[in-house]
Amino acid sequence: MADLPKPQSWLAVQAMVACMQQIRSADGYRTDAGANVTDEPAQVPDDGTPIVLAVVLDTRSRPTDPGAPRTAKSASIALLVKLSCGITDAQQVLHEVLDDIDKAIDGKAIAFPENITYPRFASSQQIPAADGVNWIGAEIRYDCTYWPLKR
Amino acid sequence: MSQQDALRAMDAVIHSAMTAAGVAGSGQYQLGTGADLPCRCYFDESQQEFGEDLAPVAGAKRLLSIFLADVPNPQRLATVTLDGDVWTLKKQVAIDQSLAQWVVTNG
Repeated sequence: MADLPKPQSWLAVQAMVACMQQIRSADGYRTDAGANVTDEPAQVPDDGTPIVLAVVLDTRSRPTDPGAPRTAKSASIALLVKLSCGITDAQQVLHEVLDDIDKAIDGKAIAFPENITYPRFASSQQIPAADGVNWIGAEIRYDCTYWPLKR
Repeated sequence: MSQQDALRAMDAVIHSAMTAAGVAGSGQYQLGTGADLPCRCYFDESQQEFGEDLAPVAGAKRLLSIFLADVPNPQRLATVTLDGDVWTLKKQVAIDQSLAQWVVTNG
């Protein structure tokens, strides 16, 4: 079988993963959210891991940009961030992670391959708390438009 | 006998029978650096997940029912030490005239 290139949507997720993996306190970020980034999310054990961050393709839709090629699609990429936290400082740490994510994507247009537009921030919302679990989290969405490479 | 007294008397009988059977216990309630109060309680555990998405965190929902006869007014962030484990009161989820049920977390 021919060695086909990876789907553009997967490359967009991979580029986002690479951006997220930069989040290290040693590199000028507030947190180490980049230490546990995955593109294959699964159930997370409550075993002392401080922060987990999953990058997944969520919805795809017709692009709103009138200049996009006919074959283009708009992809919503979801960043699922969960952090294990204390009882009284949870919200503050979440703000720090959100700030790091903004910073990790800012100015990284070059990280996104050909035919994938630089993701635009779409929304962010907190994941409703589960009272007995000392974790907090948010779901952040970025939209990008991609279209197939000519081949 | 008031309804409260009746409820508390009944719960006391049930608790002593359950303690004898090894399925209930007594702990030490403490708010901040305040005095230790011995308190009878029930401890229940079940599975709970955080996040209804592709990466839910597996956790436990732990409920502690505290006897109001022992601790009249349990407070959030107070601790109960039970069999060597320290539980922090996080959210009250049920109350009647005899028992207050709280979601507790480790530490």
